[in-house]
Amino acid sequence: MKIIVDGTPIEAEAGESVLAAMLKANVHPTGGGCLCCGGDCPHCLATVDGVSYMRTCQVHVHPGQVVQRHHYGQVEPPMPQGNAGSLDVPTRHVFCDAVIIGGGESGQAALATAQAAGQTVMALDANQGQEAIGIYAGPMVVAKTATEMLQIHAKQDVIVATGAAEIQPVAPGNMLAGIYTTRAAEQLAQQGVQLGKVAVLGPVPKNVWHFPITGRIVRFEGEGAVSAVVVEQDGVETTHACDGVVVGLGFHPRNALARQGHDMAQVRTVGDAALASDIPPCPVSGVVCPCSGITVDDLQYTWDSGFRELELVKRSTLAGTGTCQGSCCIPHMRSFLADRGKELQAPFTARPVTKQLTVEEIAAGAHFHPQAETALHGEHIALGAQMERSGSWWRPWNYGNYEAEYWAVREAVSIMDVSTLGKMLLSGPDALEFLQMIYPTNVKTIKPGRSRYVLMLNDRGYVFDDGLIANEGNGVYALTFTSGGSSNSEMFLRDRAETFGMDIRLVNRTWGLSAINVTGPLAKAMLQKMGVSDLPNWLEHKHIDVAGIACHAYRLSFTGEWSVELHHAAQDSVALWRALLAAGEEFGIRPHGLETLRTLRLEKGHIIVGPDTGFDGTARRIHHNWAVNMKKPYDFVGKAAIIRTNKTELDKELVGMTIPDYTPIEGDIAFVDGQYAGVVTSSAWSPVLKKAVMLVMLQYIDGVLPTEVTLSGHTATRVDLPFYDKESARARA
Amino acid sequence: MPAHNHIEFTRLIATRIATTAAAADKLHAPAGSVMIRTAIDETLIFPPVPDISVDDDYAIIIEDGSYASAWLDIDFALRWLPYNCAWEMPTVRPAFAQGMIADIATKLYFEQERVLMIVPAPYAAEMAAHLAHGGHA
Repeated sequence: MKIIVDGTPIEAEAGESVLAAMLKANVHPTGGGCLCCGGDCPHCLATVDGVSYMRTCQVHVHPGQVVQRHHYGQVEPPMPQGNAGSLDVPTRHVFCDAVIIGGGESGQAALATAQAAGQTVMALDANQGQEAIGIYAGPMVVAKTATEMLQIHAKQDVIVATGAAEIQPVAPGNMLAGIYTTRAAEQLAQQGVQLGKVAVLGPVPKNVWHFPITGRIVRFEGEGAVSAVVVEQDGVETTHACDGVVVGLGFHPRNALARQGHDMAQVRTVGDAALASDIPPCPVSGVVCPCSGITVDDLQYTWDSGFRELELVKRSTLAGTGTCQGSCCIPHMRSFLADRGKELQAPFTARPVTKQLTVEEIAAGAHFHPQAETALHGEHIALGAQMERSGSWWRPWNYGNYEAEYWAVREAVSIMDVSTLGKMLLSGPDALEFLQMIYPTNVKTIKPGRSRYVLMLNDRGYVFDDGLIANEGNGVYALTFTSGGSSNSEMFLRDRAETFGMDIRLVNRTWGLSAINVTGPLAKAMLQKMGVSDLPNWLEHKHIDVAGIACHAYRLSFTGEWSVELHHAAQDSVALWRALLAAGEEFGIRPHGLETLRTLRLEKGHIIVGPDTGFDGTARRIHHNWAVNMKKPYDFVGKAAIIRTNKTELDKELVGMTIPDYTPIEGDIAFVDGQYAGVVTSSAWSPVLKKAVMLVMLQYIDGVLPTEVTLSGHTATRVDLPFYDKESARARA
Repeated sequence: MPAHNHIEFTRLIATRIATTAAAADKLHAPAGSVMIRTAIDETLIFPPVPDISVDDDYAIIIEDGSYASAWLDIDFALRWLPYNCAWEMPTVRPAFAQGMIADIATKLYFEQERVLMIVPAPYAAEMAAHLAHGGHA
């Protein structure tokens, strides 16, 4: 068969490694460095079939295989990337008693012991393509296979039986081709690679044409590949001409995984992975860390700079942070520091991952944030709505004609799907007491059948949500929250109930209750024509039937026009929506989306919590002191902060501003005489007022709130809120 | 990779009860209905049991359609779930378990031959798409 290396076909034999095939063709994957054939070094890395950083000693050839070399010094190693055809890598979760990492002798023994003890066992063998790449808290072992990622939750034992790696030589010339560890030489010879006549230092590999040498390696010599090795013994240097050099310098445990899980009692090492490391002679010169190109001179510079701990030397030089994660450099760094500091330091901390992963493998099991759909999602799509992500919900931005939607609200009738509002029901012996502690309004004065707009404050007195409290009678309260706020608010309420030790019952009904806002000057007439006669008055709420559907109707207004919010069972939502559209046909009904609502509410000066309040919006800063009752005899959440901050001078305020002929973008910066004066939090062109209206968080300058600011070269003038229908006669009609 | 293109979620109409832990402990669902304790203070019973007796004057008892559900064949479920749940599946039957699947709070009710998957109704379309895709993206 043939494989393609850097665009050139080369011969390969079934069953051999890509590395062996390349060496037979006199091609070195990276150009040089001591090959180990154990997956421990970075010297055989290449891009194989589109996946970069593959260890070619661990990959078998197949016909048509495409290989690109990562040649040291000639090409920049590519970013880790995977095969374009494998974008979806699944993650499988496995629960078991024990996981055995390593399929060698000690791994097999551990497996037998675990099975004999009746444990459910997951065995991982890198030679079978199951490569553990990290041990996380739990413990949870993450492993990669050819087709999926594994997350293995071991209840009892994680046995690390990963064996030991051979120590690499460090000397000048150690990045030349033609250097092998003992095991590598044997394996390559077995695969038919002709190594030539090699000098062997240490144990003799089988089936290799060789001659033995002794002593300390002084340097490797050659152009591109080794042609001689110089050794020193008893003060005498000897040069040995050769085709290659085989080094057997000892072993150090492959214990990176164990070092990740060193503080977990369940994680144990066995076999060679548990042995103490051989420590080579202190390196004198040459590359210590081939991944990061760190030399002995670099280590000396770092030492001279005052870094004495192995952990710090690692961080300073980045030795040990590359492809092999310290497998090549750790023994030599320990030896170097022991020589300089007279103390042998422990290997540095290991962290996942121990082997290269593709982006696809890293992303395995990750999910996009899911978006929720209201019960009316299909209706919106059918009406041609442009849907927009709003918080965690899909919501209609518009139905194709913003202007017509706007005027439908202002002059006729319109409906909007407001099912996304947070909706909860609260009762319990301490319900009223609890609400008094939560909200800054005096809840006791909200009579049954009445409702009230409320702010939610955190302990710092900042507004984090707003909504409505409706007294249902009999100690039951219906609460509403912003569309994005229900989950957070529910957590807040439950947490505070526990903190306060209060006995309440709480149900979050957001997912099961839909809501449609019916609004516009003709809305009431339309509903009356539908037979609805008992509509609630302003800020009242009632349980009524609309088109035969049970609704909890709230009279309020966010649009500035007469409005009623109809809360109803989500399963009835489509029927109610369609009935309202049918009944409203003669009134010029048209649904509106968020784009319209944002303008409508801005004209009325209504805030949207978040954009208009920021992270430090107090009631005072956003002009909502009217919603805070400091006289009620409860230390409600945020009260202490309000008392404290009210003693300080007000530094900024949310104000209304207008520009006659220019609409600034939200986020635009306001200036006074070139000095920062604030930021536009909401902005829109008002069709009914024929000018731009905006909310600006405006800074006091020298104790004065500016009356005019410059926004992108245009003069904006401060005006009282609201911009539209100042007496709210239309909303309360 | 297991995937299923034909899972349709329908709104699950249930009786939802918020009450004290002690009162919830005493609840008994009528024969033929399924009762699952979704939280220490909350119970779902389906089909709905509007006249259920709860030993708590302040209990909130509502008919509720917050969730949508779909039955999964047990063989498919047991092949699919390990790719999507970082939590261990129960081995007894019947059994109830809940946790996150694809960032969606999911409840699973295991019977001998099938599993009822219950998700918040607004996320049913997302979960159906997730099931159809094989559930790993």
